[in-house]
Amino acid sequence: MGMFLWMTIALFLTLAVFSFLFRDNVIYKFAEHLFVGTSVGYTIFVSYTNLFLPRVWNPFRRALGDGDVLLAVWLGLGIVVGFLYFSRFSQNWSWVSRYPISITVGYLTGYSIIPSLKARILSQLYGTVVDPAGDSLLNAEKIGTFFKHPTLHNFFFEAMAGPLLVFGVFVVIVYFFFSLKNNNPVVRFSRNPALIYLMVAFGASFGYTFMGRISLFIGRMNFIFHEWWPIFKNMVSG
Amino acid sequence: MKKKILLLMGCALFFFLPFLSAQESAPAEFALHDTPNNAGEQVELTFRPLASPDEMPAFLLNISIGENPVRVRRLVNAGKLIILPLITRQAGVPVTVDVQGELPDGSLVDLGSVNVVSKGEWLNMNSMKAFILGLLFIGLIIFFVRGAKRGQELFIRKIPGLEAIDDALGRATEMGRPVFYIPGTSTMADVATLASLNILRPVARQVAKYETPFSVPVKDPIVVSVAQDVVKEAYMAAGRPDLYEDGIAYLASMGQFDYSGAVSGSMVREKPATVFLLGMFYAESLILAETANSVGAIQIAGTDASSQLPFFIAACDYTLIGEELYAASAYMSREPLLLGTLKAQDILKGILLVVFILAIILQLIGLDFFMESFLNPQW
Repeated sequence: MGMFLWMTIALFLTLAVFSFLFRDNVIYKFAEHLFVGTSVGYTIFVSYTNLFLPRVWNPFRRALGDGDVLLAVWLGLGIVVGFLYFSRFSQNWSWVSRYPISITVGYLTGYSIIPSLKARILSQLYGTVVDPAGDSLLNAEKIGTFFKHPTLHNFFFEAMAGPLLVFGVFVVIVYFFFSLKNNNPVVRFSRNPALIYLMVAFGASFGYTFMGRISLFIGRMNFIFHEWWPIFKNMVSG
Repeated sequence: MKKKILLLMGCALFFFLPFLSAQESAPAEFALHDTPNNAGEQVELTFRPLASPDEMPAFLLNISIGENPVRVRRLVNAGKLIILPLITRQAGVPVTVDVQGELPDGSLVDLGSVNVVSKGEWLNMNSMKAFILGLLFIGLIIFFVRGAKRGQELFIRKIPGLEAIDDALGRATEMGRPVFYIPGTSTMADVATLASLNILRPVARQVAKYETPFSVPVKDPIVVSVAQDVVKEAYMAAGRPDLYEDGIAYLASMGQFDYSGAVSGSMVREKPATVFLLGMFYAESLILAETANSVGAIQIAGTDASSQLPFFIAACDYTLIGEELYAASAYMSREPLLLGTLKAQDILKGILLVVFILAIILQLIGLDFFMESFLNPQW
């Protein structure tokens, strides 16, 4: 019975959220406020139990107990800097909160420089010149294969896949040059092909994500018709 | 006679050699070594079975890491090389692995043991190439920022979406409806969020000048603090500190979909005339864009999340694609720091394009060394 009650609440909230598709209404507002309140409360609790206690407070107490002064000072410093965020509640001291913000932003930005360069530039550049098997993307052998066996598969997946990728990367990078004027011949030449490449990529991504959303919708419908409904039917039929 | 004896010995050796070597060859080769280029938090066991699976179907590894209890791991003999990372968490931790072979009848034979002490390195040489590229980039940024500060003219081409900002804000003012500015749903660690907050400043200045109602719902608590400061400064710069209140930039919620639910609800109730969706977005992008569209708002969107751009392009009036978002912040604020960074970015892109073309040509003529030496992400 308890399980059925919770499942019915889940059903009610699902339908309440879907009711927004019709128009804004009081049931949606109730679900929205419940969702926001629960989520914020849950996040605060999870942050306290999964982050603050195991990563900060417990190690700090352990370090104090073990006499590890250096570690205790570091952790203590972190706690103090973290608490400076609360200065925003005071009008006179709110400027102090800029210190933890600047430390957080500075640390995270600096920390992400090398991984970003590796993942977004070097790996991408490497992957645009050679394929995962280590062959050049502009591979004359593959083009030759198409002329020996002229099929659509050989054309798109063997002969043209590499050259299309290389050309696409080139024109799209030129499209994102902001220092060149719009009437620059290179920019003018690359604009339309770059837009075609971008739109083809976005279209594919749109379709892919849309299918993902449909699967989420199917998941909710499965919940209603294959989980909640059989239990409800059993209860009604006794 | 001597020759005959030597011949006999040779034949005997030739005949018995396979048996001798068979007796001497171990059922497996294994070695334990410190994983290079880390702070000592990991060592690696390389294990190659030599005996066939019929002779020895499995191996048992008795792994001892520091003072932790011995862990037993069973490897089924698939005849393939296995590289097993063992986590030590810090440098100076002794690791010992005793290897036993399991015979078809289930009995075990000792195959020996290996040990190593985890070591930490000061430098991660795998990141050296990225480090050099980073230094080059930082050098370029400093060069161009200095130029911009000295008053050097740095050209940036027009970006179509930005031209519409003034019209969109004017429309909201004429209609007497609010302007919503959503700076993405990510944290301050995201470059897109930083770029968005840079665009927020001139937008807020304009909004304050027109005395238009303004709302900045935010998902991250730290971004809220920064957004409040940015809006406050903008209102002061516009000469309208009296219009500023802390509630303009507020924490709508901290979860992804509850945030989008809350913002969608606000949009439907307050009916903004203009909605800015600039920053990092995830799956909530379409929910926000569609809701803004349904209330008849002009939408100016921009993100560097390639998976969300299609939704903005489909549902919004103007979309800043990828790097246009960063360029927009420089274009609108005209701050030397941002202009210099954008220029440095363009120069770096130019250098990379030249390297890219060079690499392709060299690869085409069969010179792989350039790729492997200079472009392989692992040094």
